[in-house]
Amino acid sequence: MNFFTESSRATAGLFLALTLSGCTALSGGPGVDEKDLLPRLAGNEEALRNISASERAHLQLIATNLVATLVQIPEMRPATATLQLNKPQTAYGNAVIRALEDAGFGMQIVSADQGQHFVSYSKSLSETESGLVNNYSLAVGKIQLSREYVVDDDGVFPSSLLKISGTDHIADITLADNIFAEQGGDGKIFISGAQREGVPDPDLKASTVDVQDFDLLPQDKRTPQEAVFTEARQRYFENDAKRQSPNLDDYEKHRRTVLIFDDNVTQMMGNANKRAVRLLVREFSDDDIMVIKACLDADGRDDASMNRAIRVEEELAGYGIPTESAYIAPCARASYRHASDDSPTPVELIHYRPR
Amino acid sequence: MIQLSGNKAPYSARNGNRALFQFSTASLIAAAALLSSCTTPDGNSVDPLKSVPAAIKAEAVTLTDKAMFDDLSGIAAQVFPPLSTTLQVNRDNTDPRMQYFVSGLADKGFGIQRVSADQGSHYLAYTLKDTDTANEKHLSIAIGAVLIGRDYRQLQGNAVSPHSVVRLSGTRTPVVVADSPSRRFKIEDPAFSEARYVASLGLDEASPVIALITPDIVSKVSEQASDGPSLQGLNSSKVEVNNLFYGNESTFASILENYQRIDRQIIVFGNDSMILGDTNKQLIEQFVDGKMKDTDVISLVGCSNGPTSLDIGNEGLALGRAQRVTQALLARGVAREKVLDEGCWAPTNVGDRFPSRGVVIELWRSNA
Repeated sequence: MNFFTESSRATAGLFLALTLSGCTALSGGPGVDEKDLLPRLAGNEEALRNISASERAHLQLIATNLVATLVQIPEMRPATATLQLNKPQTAYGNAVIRALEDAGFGMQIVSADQGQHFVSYSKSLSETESGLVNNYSLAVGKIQLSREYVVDDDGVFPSSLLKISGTDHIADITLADNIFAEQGGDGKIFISGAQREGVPDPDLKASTVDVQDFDLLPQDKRTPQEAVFTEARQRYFENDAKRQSPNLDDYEKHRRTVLIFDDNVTQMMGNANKRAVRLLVREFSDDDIMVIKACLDADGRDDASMNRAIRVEEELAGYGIPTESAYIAPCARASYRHASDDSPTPVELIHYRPR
Repeated sequence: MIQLSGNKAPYSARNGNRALFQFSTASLIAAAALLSSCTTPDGNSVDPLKSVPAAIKAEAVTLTDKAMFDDLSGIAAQVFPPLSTTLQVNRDNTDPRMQYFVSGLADKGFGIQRVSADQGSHYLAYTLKDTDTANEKHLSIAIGAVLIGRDYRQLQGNAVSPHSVVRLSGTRTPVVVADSPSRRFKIEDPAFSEARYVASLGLDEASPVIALITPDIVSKVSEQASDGPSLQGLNSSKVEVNNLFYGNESTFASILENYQRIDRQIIVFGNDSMILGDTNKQLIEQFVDGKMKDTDVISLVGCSNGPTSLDIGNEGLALGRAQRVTQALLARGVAREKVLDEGCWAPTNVGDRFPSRGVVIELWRSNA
């Protein structure tokens, strides 16, 4: 018992000291706490210890910017891609790994550079005619993203287009550049857009973002990293739903089930629904398609139902149904369901086979 | 009885750890009170526990907990190949035991994916509860549809000893239970160092119906005479299946295209009976234990052809027999999705195609 008493005193003392020191650090100024940048797997606390809270905030913005782009690349769907990584040695490495974790990728620690989706990253400093420029890059397998950023008194801002290589799918990508504007700035302007590395693009969509003082948001009012990723993933699914509309006349129905979600907002499917999905996908063949009908909103806004449809599509992906074989059906209003109705919500899942 | 689940487990103090827990709790409250005046530059209050490093939180996992989780994570790594398996964990889960467990699985090479709800085919959860026996706990982990569980006895000196075999359901993967004694993990009875395949507790869990809606079915339904045997019924997994009285093609023919039949067995039931009996149980046991591999599937056709005096009719009897055999297969650890059960029912005999009152079991192996 004495052992516990001693150890508990020590633990409690240490705990008290740490929590109080945490209080001081958080009161010191705006920025991001160490724990918000530390990966849950293989985090390197030491690498984060010697940088300020505002530097951590800059790194978080850069990592968020790059990873929010990555999740919109079809080959890099977080629901199906597991990335291989080494323990990060730098603060930027911590920020990247944490951002990838929070974006929903599977993360696997490897001893060297094993794996199809090995994560590598770099930061380089260049002295240019425009001054000092930091180039940050992130590569996952053959896909590489890079962008230059400058740091000034207001914060960190992009100073180039975001360059992407290793994929042909960049047309529908929307950059999460609004997160930089939330730092505020006195008439600051930065360039926004994505281009394929080394390939001239006549349809390049680039714009400039003006940042004013009134854009400044307090740290706790800024868009959380999680929301940025959720929006980026959702954008991918929305684009996917618009781009692909199969001609159902070429198919015939095979099976149908109705999954019931406990209410209008939950993303939890539960064991019974998951089992139904498992049983349904057993009969899926290469040329088949799955159609997800989730939208039943009476008021015409289908955010919640779109989220449920995405949830089901992610579940299908988890069981090996290819992205291009699952479709979210357009919204079909149900007049009987009021917008405020929070009763259990159905999602219809129909398995089609080619005629 | 104390029961903790992987998604909501608070800390539980027991025995010698109680002092540590109580003192730490008091300190936590004191720290929280002190921090209540701590505000951000924006004037927002700070959650005192949010700034606690993970290393400190992890102290809440006792040494005996660690020994139990280490034991089952070793089994999990035999059931699923770590280097090609990604486990899903709820990202809001801050339970220290789960964090410890996940960290151990990551060290074994598993991919770890943080999900917002319960996404994924390998969603990870656990249940830790006291059993009815004094100083005994039951730890059960779920990875997708696979359950791995074991009882442990709490010993003096922060050690545990396995007090049951390792029970697996939803898989037939062979595992070796090589219990190695250590300071925290004692072996009191070597007889417990083995694996046993059992049925999942979620056997009768209500799940959505999966209807068969091919155009052929739809047109046949409209043409069907009202007094003939029904065209479809629901199997034990609530998947709608064709009545094979009307044709020879299995409802699951598309699944079996890539498999070849390895073995066939007929289980005969008594007249108007769904009782399996010892002999049939033994036949099923031999069929599964002696021949089945983990990647195989089993098709089975429950039959009832001829007059019956039961109210459930031939359909109820045929599918009921199929369900009874399915249950026996699941009880041997066979995963539900590996069993393709359907039926053949009619008030008249169908000749040699199917037995009048039995279940035809076939074992299929992948061509790949």
